Amino acid sequence: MTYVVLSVAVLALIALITLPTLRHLPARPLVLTALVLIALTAVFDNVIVGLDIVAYDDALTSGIRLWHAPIEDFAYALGAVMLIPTVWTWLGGPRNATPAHSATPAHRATPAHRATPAHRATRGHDSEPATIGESGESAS
Amino acid sequence: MTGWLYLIGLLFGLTGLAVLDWRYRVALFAQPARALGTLGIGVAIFLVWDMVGVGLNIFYVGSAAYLTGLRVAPEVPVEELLFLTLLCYQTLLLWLAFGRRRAHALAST
Repeated sequence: MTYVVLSVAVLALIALITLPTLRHLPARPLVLTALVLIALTAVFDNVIVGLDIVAYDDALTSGIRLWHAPIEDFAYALGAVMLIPTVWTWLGGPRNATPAHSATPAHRATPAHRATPAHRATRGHDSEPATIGESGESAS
Repeated sequence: MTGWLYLIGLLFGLTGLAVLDWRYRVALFAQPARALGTLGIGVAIFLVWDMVGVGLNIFYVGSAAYLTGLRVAPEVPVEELLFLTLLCYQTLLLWLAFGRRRAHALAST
């Protein structure tokens, strides 16, 4: 059971650190990534355990295995899904959010942004093309 | 020769991911510094996790027919370093790709 305790303890620690960041990210890409990683782990882990590349002290594992793969090994997949997007987000800084995160408001903002002239004036770098567009519209 | 099989397999997998990354400009080929930082920190954390497992004698290197025998630490073969890189890189690419797909879907509605 030692391996179960280690896995759960490490996952809990990772969750504690990453959840404040993860809860602001879209859920769907995280869930899909987790599902694919679990499937890949099931294949890969069975190969490396089956080939005796890695071995376990059976007295220290739960004994629950998916064919060859100890169930505890799936903690690595779950840990990766929590850690990697969190670190990527941290390293991005406020202006450089993840594509998943930033694309939504940016795309949504475009129509509303064009519709209200007040918004154009406030956005410095956007004002020039917007003004050209406006003069084109009024001329026609 | 068989001693290099697992290492070659891992490198093959990593190369495949890198080609996809290059083709679709997802992580390393879109924001290299950020991607390298993410992978470095991820692998470092997983290595600590590994070392704790090894320290508790939970897992150890198998009978090693497919391992080079090169170690980065006791019971931590060089292959483990590449495996953890593969795991982190795979995770990053999947997540960014799924996020990109979602962004496209939202943009088209």
